[in-house]
Amino acid sequence: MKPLALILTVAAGGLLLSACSQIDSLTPVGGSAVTSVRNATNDVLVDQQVPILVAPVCAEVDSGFTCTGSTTDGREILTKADGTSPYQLTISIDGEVIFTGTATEVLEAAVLESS
Amino acid sequence: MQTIKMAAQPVRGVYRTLLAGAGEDFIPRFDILGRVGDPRRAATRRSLFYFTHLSDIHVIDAQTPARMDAIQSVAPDLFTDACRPQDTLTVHVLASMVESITAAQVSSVTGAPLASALSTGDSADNLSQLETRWYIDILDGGEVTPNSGAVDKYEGPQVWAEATYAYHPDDPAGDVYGERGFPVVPGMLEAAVSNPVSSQGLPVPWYAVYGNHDSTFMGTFRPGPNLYAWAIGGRKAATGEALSANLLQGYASDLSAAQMAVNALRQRIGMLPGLKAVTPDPERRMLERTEFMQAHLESPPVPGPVGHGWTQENITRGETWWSADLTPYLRVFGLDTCNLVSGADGAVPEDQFRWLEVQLAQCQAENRLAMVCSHHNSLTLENDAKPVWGGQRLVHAEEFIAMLQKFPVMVAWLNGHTHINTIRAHRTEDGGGFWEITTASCVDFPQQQQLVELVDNRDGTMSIFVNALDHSAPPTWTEGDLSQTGLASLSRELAANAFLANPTLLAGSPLDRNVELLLPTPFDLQKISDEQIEREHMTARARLLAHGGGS
Repeated sequence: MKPLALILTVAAGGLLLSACSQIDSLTPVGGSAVTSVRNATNDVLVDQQVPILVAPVCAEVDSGFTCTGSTTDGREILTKADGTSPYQLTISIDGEVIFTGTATEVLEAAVLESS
Repeated sequence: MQTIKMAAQPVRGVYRTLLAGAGEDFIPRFDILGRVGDPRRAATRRSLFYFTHLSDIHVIDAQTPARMDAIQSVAPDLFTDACRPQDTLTVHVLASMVESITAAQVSSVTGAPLASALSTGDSADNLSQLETRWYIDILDGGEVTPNSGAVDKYEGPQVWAEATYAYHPDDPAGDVYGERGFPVVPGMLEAAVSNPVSSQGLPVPWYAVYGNHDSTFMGTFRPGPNLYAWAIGGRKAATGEALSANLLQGYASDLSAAQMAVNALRQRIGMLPGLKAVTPDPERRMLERTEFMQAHLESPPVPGPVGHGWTQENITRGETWWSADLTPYLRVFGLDTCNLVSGADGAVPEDQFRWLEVQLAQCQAENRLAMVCSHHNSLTLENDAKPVWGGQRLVHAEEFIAMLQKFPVMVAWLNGHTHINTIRAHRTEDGGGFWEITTASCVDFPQQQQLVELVDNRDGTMSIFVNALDHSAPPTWTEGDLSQTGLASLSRELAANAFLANPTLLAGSPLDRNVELLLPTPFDLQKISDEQIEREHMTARARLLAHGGGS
């Protein structure tokens, strides 16, 4: 048996012990996709000194993720993240676009010394 | 506090060194309060409790045959943590983190003394008795030589030529890390496993909960007799083929007693290509469920408490969760959210859920602040895997959060698991709620933990200050430095370049690192007198002085 096939067999073997057969439970750790979008959004907002009252909360939608929050003066923060990783982001405040680009670009820039 | 940045220009290939960046100020977050806080609060506030939050320490015995290092040759994305470049350096990092915590024993916000440490799981990496002992001894204080098997010699994939999925510090030219510019570091492995690592120990009492890596094989699979035997045996897989033909095939058929015997024979006489001889070591044995708690009871009274949250009663009753009064006005609850059937993610078993609900109601009635510690966070509390014989109901994130929100005294949920600094607000419709505080790990970049302080602003609000804490090793590794501190520094640099771990994500955003989290007071905090607080602070200061420092 090929190694990967056996590994998957072992994974399935683990599920035989499970009454629910929840394939997702074999995913090592969840949540990284939505966190990428959320963190990139926050990086942009802080970098642009947007006064945040409620930090954007992200939810999965058909086309990717949508994140909504608000500023201290009551304007809506909206992030639309389309596709799959690296996620094309459009961040706007009350409809005015303040950023377009990928989440990956933002996250990489945030950890480099020049950022 | 400093931040650590990656150099703008790679030094080789895509490999980057690290350097100290500018510090980050505290950013106030008003998500729960729903309005901007009164700026005058800075002049009126008083500290209620100052502590450190650790999680995902992941002390690793990188040489144990029971690791699935070789899975990275066939499915690198499935288990990104199976064979990290910095696997042999985890004890060094933890000792550096202890140094950093000790240096931060006086709050930078209020001057209050550090009073406690809460560790939210994945302290060991793979159920190992050795890993568990090493982590406890470093936190309690002592000396650990992070080696197993052969004396003063590393035996494992990082020196095996066929293990091209692993980083070979003596000569990475033939592996996937060499392709990306990882450095040649002659003698790194020998230094890592030969020299004792010394730790002064935490200066405060510390508490721990179970993580999935303290509960299951590779944090995901239920262990069985075959794995237990492999852990103490003399064969280790160097390739994916050997891993599948031996360790995993044995694991998959563990349910049959006859097959177990065949597996045992296979281990004695079998030597397929890719299977390497290593020095067996009975100390590498994998712990049974309650032995993890028992190991914590085998601790000295200082820094304490003996058991680090668990007691003999926990072992007798098989209850892996606990509560503790950190002060007369603050109670913490340690949950076990791990799934013992399969999967890395977790859930809250119904018995703990009901128990916690009763406990929180009691705190609410007594005007006692409360915090919850668990390993899993709200994004990873959806695992519903149950044994075929049933098992109790598993409560998931939405229901768990709703229950916590019923109790205004419940101000903070501390957790880990994802290795990402993340702070989320769980606001109720009436303007209350609690903060969920998730810390990064000691093993993956940025190797940060947290300082946390509960503060009464004396204006009808309270604040929770969170400060991301780097370990004390220098941000920039000095080439050739194989000292204890040097290896911790090198570990961080290797982790920053460990592409499988997605290091750019793990530091979180600025809203997840140095922050002031505001919320309305759950009751009139003047009921906690200044005298009572000062008494607690004096006790904490005396403890710090006895440890060798203090304010």
